[in-house]
Amino acid sequence: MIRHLFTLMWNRKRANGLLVLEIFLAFVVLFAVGSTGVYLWSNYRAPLGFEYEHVWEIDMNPGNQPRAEQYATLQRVLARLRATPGVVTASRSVDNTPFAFSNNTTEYTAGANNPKVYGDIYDAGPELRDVLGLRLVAGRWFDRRDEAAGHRRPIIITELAQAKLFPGGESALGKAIHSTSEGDKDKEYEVVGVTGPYRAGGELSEPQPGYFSYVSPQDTARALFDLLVRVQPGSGAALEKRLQDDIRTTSGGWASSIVSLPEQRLTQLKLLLTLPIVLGVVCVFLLVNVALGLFGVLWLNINQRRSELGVRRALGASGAAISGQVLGEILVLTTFGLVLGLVVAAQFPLLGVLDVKPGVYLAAMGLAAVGLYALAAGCALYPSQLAARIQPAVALREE
Amino acid sequence: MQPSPINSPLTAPAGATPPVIRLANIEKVYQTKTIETIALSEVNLSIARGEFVSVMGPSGCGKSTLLSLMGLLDEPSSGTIEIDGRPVTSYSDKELAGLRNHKIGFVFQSYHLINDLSVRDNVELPLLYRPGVSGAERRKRALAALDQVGLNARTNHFPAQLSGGQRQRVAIARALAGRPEIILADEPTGNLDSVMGEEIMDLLLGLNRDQGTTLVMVTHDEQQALKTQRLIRFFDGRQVA
Amino acid sequence: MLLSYLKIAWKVLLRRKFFTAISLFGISFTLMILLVVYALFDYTVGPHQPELRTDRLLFVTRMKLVYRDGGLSNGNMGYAFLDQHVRPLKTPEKVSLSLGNFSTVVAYVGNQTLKLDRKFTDGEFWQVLDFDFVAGRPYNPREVHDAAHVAVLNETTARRYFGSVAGAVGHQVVLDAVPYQVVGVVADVAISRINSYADVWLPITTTTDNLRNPEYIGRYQAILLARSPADVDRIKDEYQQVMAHVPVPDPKRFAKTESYAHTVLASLTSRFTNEGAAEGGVGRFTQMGLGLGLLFLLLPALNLVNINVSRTLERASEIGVRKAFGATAGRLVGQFLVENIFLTLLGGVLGLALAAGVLALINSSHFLPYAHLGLNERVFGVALGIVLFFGVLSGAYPAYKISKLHAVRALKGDTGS
Repeated sequence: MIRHLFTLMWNRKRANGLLVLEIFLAFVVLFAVGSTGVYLWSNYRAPLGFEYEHVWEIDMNPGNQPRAEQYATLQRVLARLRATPGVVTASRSVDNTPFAFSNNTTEYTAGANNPKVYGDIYDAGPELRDVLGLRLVAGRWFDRRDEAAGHRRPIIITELAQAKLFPGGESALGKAIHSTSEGDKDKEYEVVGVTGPYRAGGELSEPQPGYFSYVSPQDTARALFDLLVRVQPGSGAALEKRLQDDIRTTSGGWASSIVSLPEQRLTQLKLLLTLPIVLGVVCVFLLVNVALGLFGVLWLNINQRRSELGVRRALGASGAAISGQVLGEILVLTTFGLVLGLVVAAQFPLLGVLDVKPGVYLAAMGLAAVGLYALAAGCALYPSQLAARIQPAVALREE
Repeated sequence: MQPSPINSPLTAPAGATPPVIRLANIEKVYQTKTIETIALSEVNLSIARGEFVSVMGPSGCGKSTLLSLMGLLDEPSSGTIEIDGRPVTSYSDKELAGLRNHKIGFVFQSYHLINDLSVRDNVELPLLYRPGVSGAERRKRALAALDQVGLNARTNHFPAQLSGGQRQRVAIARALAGRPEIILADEPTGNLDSVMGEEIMDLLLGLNRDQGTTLVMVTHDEQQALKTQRLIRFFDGRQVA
Repeated sequence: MLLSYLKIAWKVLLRRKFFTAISLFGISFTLMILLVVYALFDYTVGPHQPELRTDRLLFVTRMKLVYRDGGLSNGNMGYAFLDQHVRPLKTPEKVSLSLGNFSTVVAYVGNQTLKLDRKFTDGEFWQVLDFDFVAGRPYNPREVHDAAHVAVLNETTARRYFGSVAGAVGHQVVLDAVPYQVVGVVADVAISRINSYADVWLPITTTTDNLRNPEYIGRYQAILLARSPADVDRIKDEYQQVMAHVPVPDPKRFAKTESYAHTVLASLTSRFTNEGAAEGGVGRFTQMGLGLGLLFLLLPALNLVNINVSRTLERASEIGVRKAFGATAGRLVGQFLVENIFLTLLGGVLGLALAAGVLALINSSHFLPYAHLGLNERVFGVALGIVLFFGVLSGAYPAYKISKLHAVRALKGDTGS
């Protein structure tokens, strides 16, 4: 029977060509929605690795204060902040703070025989672990011992970075890491700790390997103007105003802006989700359009094929067999469209058009295929029942 | 009326078996909102195994309705239809479809071939609705049926490439492929010129004569009707002869 | 003839209400989506307050430094550079220098924090652009020169800070602990007008930035007003001549400098694509926009074609009768096209109404701060264009099918599949 349906649909390919084309385009739409959805969902499901509630980000602007004075001012500001009631801890940071649209990336390796890893670098003071509630998996966090570090500067890497640097599964603790870029080749780092994930890019970002580079409290060059501060639960605008006033007065004029990480997260989500949601709505419209059209065309086709369906009844097809046939036909057409669509969709993982894991595309293809069959079957349901109800005696007498 | 002199294997000893089709007290009424049309009334009819019966009557006399009822394509408003002595009144749609498939073959005035299927695929159609028939078996039987109607050279053509007479031969081959006990033909020569009509008539007569196939044929052609064993006339939904 | 076609079209539409509804749904929603996108585009780069005279405005916003080793450095312009090379241009009627982006500043109202987007501008800014003053006046070049602590607020900020627009002018607003006197209040400017948008505008001389910094790349921009639309190209040329003579800073590191005077659209496309060429990537943007639009149209059009073909085949016998009575194929095709365009026009009217609804929804959702989207004569024009294009696109193939229908076969109901 299946072969019969394929033969029949193949012979009707000219009449059904446009329908197949439409089904093909519907698959492409489903595939696009599926890929985006699977990609975002799998990112969203991965653990974030830090606690953003009750954490504020403070960006300071020293105006035209001479560079040489800035470190001393920062020390005064930090001391004042840490002494303020309501502030739990404060850590120096650079502008790739959580949920900020800013990143800092580099490539590094554990040696000539190990893979090169591309990922984020975060500058972290000894307090950052407490500010963000980072989870340590092995080794230790930065502490006083790092002040005396020799020629190898201490870093702490994430689990994912460890897994990528050492595909064999060995521990990275105590290993030397160095940058692959021309200028920094001689700089060596020593892994002193391994943390859980840290996805400062937010829930929707793809999990990336990363490492924390140590910002000593005595560092006068880096991480001067961005702070991450853990505050007591319930702190609000009053504390915000106080902190800003304190910064201005202790620094002698530094302007600052304070934003809470939950706020920042919502801003980022809004920005990142707008396009997918708008496109999703457009795609839903396109699919509804296809569904209505398919339904209409199938319905009209049943009316035009009354005599053929009547003959089939006369030759021994039951009503159920007729509705099965109508359903089967559209599923065969769907298969034609699907094959075309898969050929197109397969180009994405094959050519690596976008930097996304092939698994995402495969899952999207599976989802899109199931969706396409469901769409087609849903549209054919009523017409197929209509076809089953055709009275063969009447249908054969018409014409 | 003489019974068929030929003793084909399908023909059981006379008297021992019930008629292939028996219609008892059949009435068929078509009802719309405003009008009630009586298509058939008080029809009592038996078709014996191996008979070739023709049905005549003016347009609208109920001939086609009669054929639909015999072919189990329609249900009577009252009365019973028996196939091989068993009433089909309580049969489900699926059981009726099975009976049509195994016992009955149809030939229509306008052929009703499926344009998008090749000649062979058209002929295979009844076997497609019979579970357990393999593809190879279908093909073999279809080719045998086409051989029987003399069209074995055209198996891969499409209906549109054939003449009317050829198309009707394909339709007959399709009816034969399922090896039915009875063939119901609704004006099989109605769309054909006289030469082609003659050919088709000879084919049907041959089937009855050589294979003992039971045939019921609706026709307008008195000459053809006279060639059959029994002639039934209808007028205004009633059997008049 | 046309009237009788239309009558028939109307009857055909009514005869099959379900299919008419499907077709109208497809057409109207397609149009709605395209119109909403176009309305957003028009709102961003079309002539809207305060950039009303878009045909006379040019923006110098980007400076590109090309390194000797091929690398690039891209950004807004340095103030000193603009002051020295752009302000003295002879062709423009007026030149205004301002902060290229906006920066955040904090104000407190009781226990509430207001985060305001601030833009530093000169006095000419108010003459080059057409702000809609709700109260007060702009600050003038004199006040800018004297670094007077004066401010212009947008309506929403005035309301949030002072409670009312009327109460704002003449009073003080404290921004990052620095008091400014409010001299004027303007109607809200949407963030999509990125070259002029802000919540609060302040004299450029009150910035803590070092305006004498000689770096070419900085945080500033120039807005140029041409005397007439025809002068626009002359200004672009004059600026290129200036750029040709500008010395390359640090010739050991940099190979050349590039900067262009762009129209509104080009100033945006070059900002987002970093394509600094003379036309600022407008060509590619237009191509991509049209391409995506066509791609989007494909599915609804195909859908309509499929429904049309099916309905045409259903009406095969009617067509057969017409042919038998001597209608030429051309006339039948004409009738069908009129029907289809009639249908698409009907869908177009619905689409416009839907688009107006969606735009109102976007406005009231405050999703785009201060957006005030709406339909205008340009949007109407685009709608008409899309509808006619869609009508022809979806009608052509079914019309071809009709012209091919064989009269006798059509009468028999044989559509030849």
